[in-house]
Amino acid sequence: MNPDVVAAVDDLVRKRVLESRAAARLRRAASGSLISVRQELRVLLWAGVFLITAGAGILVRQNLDRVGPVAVAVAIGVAALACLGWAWRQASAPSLVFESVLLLGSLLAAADLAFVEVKFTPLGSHWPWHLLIVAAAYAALAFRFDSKSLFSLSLTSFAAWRGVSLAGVASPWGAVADSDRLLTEALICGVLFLALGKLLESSQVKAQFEPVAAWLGWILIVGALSMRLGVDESRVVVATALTGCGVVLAWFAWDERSLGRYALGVGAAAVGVGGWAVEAIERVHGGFNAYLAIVVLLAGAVIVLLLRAQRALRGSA
Amino acid sequence: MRADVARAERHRAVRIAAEGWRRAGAIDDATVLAIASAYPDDRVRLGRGFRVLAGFAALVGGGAMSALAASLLASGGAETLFALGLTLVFAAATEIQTGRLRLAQAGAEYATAILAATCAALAWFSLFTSVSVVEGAVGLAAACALAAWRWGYALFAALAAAFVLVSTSQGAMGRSVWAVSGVVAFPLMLPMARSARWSPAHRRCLDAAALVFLVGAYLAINVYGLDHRWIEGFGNGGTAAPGAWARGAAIAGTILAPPLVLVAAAHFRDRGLLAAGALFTAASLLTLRHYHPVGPWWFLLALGGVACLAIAVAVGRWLAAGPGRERFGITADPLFGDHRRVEMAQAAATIVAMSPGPRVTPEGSFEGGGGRSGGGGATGGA
Repeated sequence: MNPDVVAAVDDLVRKRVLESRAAARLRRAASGSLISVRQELRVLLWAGVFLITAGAGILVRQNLDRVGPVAVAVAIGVAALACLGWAWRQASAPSLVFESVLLLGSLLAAADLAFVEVKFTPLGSHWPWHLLIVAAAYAALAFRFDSKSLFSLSLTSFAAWRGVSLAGVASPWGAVADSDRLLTEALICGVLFLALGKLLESSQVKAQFEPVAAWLGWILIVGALSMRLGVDESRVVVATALTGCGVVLAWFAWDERSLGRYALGVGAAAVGVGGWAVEAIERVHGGFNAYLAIVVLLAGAVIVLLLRAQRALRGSA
Repeated sequence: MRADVARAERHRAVRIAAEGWRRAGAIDDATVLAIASAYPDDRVRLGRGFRVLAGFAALVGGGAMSALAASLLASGGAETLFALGLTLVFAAATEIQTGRLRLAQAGAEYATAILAATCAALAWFSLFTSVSVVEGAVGLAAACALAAWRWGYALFAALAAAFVLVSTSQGAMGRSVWAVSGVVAFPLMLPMARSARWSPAHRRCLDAAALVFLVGAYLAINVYGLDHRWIEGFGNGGTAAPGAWARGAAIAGTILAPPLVLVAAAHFRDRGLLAAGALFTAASLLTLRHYHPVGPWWFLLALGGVACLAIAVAVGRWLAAGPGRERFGITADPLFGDHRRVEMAQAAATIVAMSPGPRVTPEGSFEGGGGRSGGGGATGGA
C-alpha cells in the first residue's frame, strides 16, 4: 500500500489527467486492496526446482549402492524426460510454471548425463567432454524455448568444461590461481562469449541473449584479470591489461548507454590503476599510508566520474 | 528528515507508480509526462550499476581516509574525540549530499551515512574499557535509530531494531521480551507504515523494524532456539535447561507461528509478512525434521521441492479461476510493479546455484549434483 500514490490518483482524476474508470484499478493496486503475488509464486517455483535438484544430487551420492546405478540413472532420466516432454507440449502457450519445469528437466537431464558418465564411463578418459555436451544441450533448449536461464547455464557449463568457475572468477578477492592456465582459459571464454553476443545481436537471431553473453564475458575477463593482480609476478602487465579492458568496456558501454557495463568498466579501470599504484609503492618502499592515500584518490576519482557521467546522461536526455 | 527530501520521495513514489502503469499499458506516454510534470523530482539519482559502484567507492574511500587520518592525527587517549570528529565529518558529508547537492539513491550518500553511524558507534565503544553486550547494543541501537530517523534508510532501522532486541536479551525475561515485542510491535508499526503522515522512506524504515521484531519473536518461540539458548547466549548465560511449560509453549509456537503469519499476510495483503511466513514455515519444518527425522534428506528435499511446485501451481490456478481472475483482492496476474529486479535476482541465483562446477583433475572423485553442482552440474572424474 502506498498512501501517496492513492492521494495522487485521486488528485490526477480531479485534474482530468486520469480517467475515473481507468483510475479505479490503479487506485485499488495503490491502496493495497488488490495485490499481485506473481513474483512470490515465481520464487516458490524456483525454490521447488532448487530443492528437487538438490535432493536428486544427494540421492545420487548417498543411495548409490542401495538403489543401484541403473535404477538411479533410469529414475532421474525418466523424471527429466517427463519435464522436458511437458515443456515441449506447452511451448506454444508458456504459463507461469513453464520456465521452472523446463529448467528442472534440463538440470535433471544434465545430472543424469554426468552420473552415467561417472558410473559407466562411456567417454573414458575424455570425461570432461560431458560438460561440453551439457553446454550444447542447454544451448539447444535455450534456443528452442527462448530461455535466458538455460542460455546462461549453457555458457557457464562451457566455461566449466574449460575449467573456469564463474563464481570463483566473479569473486576475485578469493583464492589466487597458482598458474596462468585459469587466466588464459577465462580470457578465451570471455572473448568467445563477447563474440557470440555480438553475433547474436548483429544477426538478429535471439538478440535478446546478447546482454547475457556480454555480461558473462566481461565478468570472466575482468574477474580473471583482477584475480591475477594478487600475484606479484607481471603485475604491471596484468594491471595494464585490466585498465585497458576497463576503458574499452566503459567506452563501448557508454556508446550503447549500458550503464551497468559502464560502471563495471570504470570499476575495472580503477582496480587496474590501483595495481599500478601498488607496484609503484612497493618499488619505492612506500608505507601503509601511501596505499591508503591511493585508495582515497581512486575512490574519489570513481565517484566524480560516475556523477559527471550521470550529469552528461541527463543533459543528453 | 528534511522536508524537501520527504517531498521528493513522495513524488518519486508517484512517478514510479506511473512508470508501472505505462508498462502495463494502463496509461500512455503523454499521461506519464503529465504526471511527471505534476510531481517533479528534483533529486539526482543514479542507476543501479552506478549506485553500487559509487557506494562501494565511497565506503572504501571513506574508510581509507579515516584510517589515514587516524594514523596521522589520532593520539593515544583521544580516540573518542577523534571518532566523534569523523562522525561529524561523515554526517556533514551526508547532509551536504542530500541537501545542497540533492543526491538521492546515488550510493555515495548512503555510504557516508553508514560511515557516520559506524564512527558514532566506535566513539561510544571507546568510552568503555570493557563493553558489555547491553552497553554496546544500546549505543549501536541509538546510532542506527538516529541515522534512520534523519536519513530514512531502512537498513539502519532494521539494525536499530536488532540491537534493541540484543540489548534486552540479558536477564531472565529476555526471551519473553523478544516474543512480546514482536507481537506488540507489528500491529503498532504496520498502521504507521501505511500512514500518509510518514514519508515513504520512514514507512520503509517502520516496515523493516517491524519485520526484525517479528523475526525476533519467532526466534524466541522456536523450540530449537529455546533448547540451544540462542537468545540467552548473547550474554553467555542461561545455560539452565528450559522448563517443561516453556518447551510446550515453544513447540506450540513453532507449529502455530507460520500459519498465523501467513494468514495475517493474506489479511493485510503485506509482502513482508508473506516472506516472513514462508521463512518461518521453512524454519519450522527444519525444526520438525531435527527432532523427528522422518526420512532421508534427499527424500525430504525432493518432497519439499514438489510441494513448492504444487502449491505455486495450485495457488496460481485457484486465483486465476476467481471472478475477475482474483480472490480476496489477490491475483496471480502481473499488475503494475517492476518485476525486473526479481527476475534479475532469480537469473543470478540460477547461475550461482545451478551452474556446474569446473572440471577437476582426472583423479578427482565424483560429486553428485544437488545445490551448487546440482542438476546441471555434477562434476567428476572417472
